[in-house]
Amino acid sequence: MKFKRFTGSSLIEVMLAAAVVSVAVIGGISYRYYSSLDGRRANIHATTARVALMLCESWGGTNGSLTYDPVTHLDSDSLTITADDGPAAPADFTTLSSHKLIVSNITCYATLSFKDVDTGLRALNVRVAWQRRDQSDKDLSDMDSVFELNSYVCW
Amino acid sequence: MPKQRFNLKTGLTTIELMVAFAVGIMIFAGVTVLLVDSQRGWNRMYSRLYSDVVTDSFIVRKTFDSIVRKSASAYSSIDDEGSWLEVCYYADEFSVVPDLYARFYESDGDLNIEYGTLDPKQTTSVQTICSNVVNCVFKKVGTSAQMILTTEEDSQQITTITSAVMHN
Repeated sequence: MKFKRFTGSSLIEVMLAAAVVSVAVIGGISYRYYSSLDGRRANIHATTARVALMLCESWGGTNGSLTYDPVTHLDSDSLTITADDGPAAPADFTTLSSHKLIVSNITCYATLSFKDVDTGLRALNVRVAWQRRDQSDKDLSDMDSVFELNSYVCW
Repeated sequence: MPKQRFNLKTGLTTIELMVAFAVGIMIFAGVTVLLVDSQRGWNRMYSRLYSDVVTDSFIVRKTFDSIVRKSASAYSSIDDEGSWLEVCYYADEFSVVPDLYARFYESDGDLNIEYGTLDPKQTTSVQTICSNVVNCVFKKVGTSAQMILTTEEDSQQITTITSAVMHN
């Protein structure tokens, strides 16, 4: 008399279950990792955009003066600005100055440039370069993103 | 006739039970850690978006922007150290000169705005728009004004940078 009893799971079943669980775990970890990373990137992006807006508006407040210097006007305990290299200015624009800025431990590099488009009309350009992945103190060559603002002033 | 033997295994052996128990504990521990960590991550993300310092930062930016942009640059004044900024603006479309003022200043960790009339110079109200201020400095460059504000609460520190251009 033969008794053919299947008890437990076969190797294939166990491996399939392990594969499904692995995919679920890796998916969950990846979701959390990228959501955290995107949150940090958004924070850096928003901060650098505000820095660019501040530079653009403060320079615009002087009607695009060619003696405008962010180090003199804006440097403070919470916002460190020093003269340094910066991203390249757009074609046909003349570079006024380039700076390294540190705010909330986020480092970015900015270049201010201008172009006289007509008599008494000047286009101001502010380019801010920042690094999406790492916000620690880095060189200009490590920056991988650029935020740009343009403004026009009468002078 | 020989006796027929049935060697049927029913139930689980001790080894099987121990292995199942160990695997169960590992899965339970893993899921628990995952849940706790997810909850912590959610709280961190929530506080990054909706904590008091973040909402205060948003309100401060909007308030500074709305007041400074309607102000006349010729009538504004600022402290040499940048500890306060006073801007003047028109009460309505019938005003020929600025008749109201708003003064931004930090006091005892609060960022306040003092509203009042210019003629006679009289304070009408003081509004606190932000607490937990660590550092606040105002700048004025030409016709534009800037505020660099650092707030901190529960080890979360935020630096708010805002800028606005006044009219003539």
